[in-house]
Amino acid sequence: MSEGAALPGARSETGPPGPTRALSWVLRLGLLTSAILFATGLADYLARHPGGQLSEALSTNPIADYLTLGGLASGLAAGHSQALLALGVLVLVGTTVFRVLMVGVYFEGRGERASAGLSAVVTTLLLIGLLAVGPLLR
Amino acid sequence: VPCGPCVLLGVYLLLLLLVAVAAGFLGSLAGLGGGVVLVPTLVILFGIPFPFAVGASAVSVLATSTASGAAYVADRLTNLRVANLLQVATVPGALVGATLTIYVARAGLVPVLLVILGMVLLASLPATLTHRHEELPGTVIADRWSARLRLGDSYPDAVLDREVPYVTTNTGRTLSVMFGAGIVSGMFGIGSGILKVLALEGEMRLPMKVATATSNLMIGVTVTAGVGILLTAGYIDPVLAAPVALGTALGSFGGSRVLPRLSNRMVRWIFVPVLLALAFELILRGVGVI
Repeated sequence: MSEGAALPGARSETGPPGPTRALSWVLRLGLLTSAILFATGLADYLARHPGGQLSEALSTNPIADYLTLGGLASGLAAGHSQALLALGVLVLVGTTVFRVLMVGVYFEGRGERASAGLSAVVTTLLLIGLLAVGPLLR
Repeated sequence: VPCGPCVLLGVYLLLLLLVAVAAGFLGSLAGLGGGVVLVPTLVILFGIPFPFAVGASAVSVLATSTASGAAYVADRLTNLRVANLLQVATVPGALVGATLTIYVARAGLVPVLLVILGMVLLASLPATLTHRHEELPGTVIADRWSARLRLGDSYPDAVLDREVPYVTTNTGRTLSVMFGAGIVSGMFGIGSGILKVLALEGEMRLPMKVATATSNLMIGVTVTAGVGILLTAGYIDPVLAAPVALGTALGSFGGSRVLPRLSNRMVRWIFVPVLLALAFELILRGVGVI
């Protein structure tokens, strides 16, 4: 975003303003974390399933077991590679929700109540979608 | 060869990763999540059941959005205020769409909807081509919402070598299209980037690069709204989703390095064939050819 701090005529060499840079780094951190989890989990899965087939993986999809904190923690504690992979997916989801929240905080800090309110509405809807709608339709 | 069949599975996942790199690259340039390339490839070439392909596509959208978003936000191509406002329409749309899916599927209306969506995309082609020689939008008069929420902004254009100011318009119409894009997203587990870019450029009159960058950020949020449903339904398989997410993230990162160096016209010329391909894919899938 140029968010008014970047005035027309300003050169791109000035770079993004602080909050924008912070948002960019949050996204990078989330992506890097999930990429490490995916790479580690995949390597571990391949090592543990030397004769494995993708059809077998699809038919024994354990993702539903890892959608609670307890289930995920026990999966990770047991060293299940698919728990690591599921955590990678959840980190990506969490990064997206967090960045919406972060944008809202940023707007609030600038006194832009309307934009901050919109972010709050989106965050609430996302949480409803993730935590309520999915389980309801199950 | 250390362990025979595991290498085969490894090769399989490697191929998947390579396809995802291409999807992420294209998605990043065109403002899409890469599902346009991924879903048919996973279903047709890799023989993956459609619901799992949709689940993997949703994760790829998240990866593309995060990877491209990180770069485009830093490059000041993304308009966060516009994305913030329009997400208010896309997220409820996605929730409605995800809920509707069950009833639409029960009524056997999915093929009809696919054909309709394909036709809508085809119908939008002339409007997109109208601006084909346009590097920047002509005179745009900001509407009330644009002024009130300060939606207009500027971005550094590396090709034009200057800061380009722009204003936005047609906020109400764009919000309506975004609600529709959200419904489509929720129903099919895609980011609906194609509809978002069409609305951002055609209705709101954002410069093409700003439109694709802003769409890239929005698609992740839209998909997240429906991800809960895909996760609890068991359609997101970690072993399938991981290489797809890794590949699209890599591809998106590459794409995000290229986009700032392209002209808005060039981005549009990349976007148009993707739009055509998606329209035909939807229609062919709707009539049962693929």
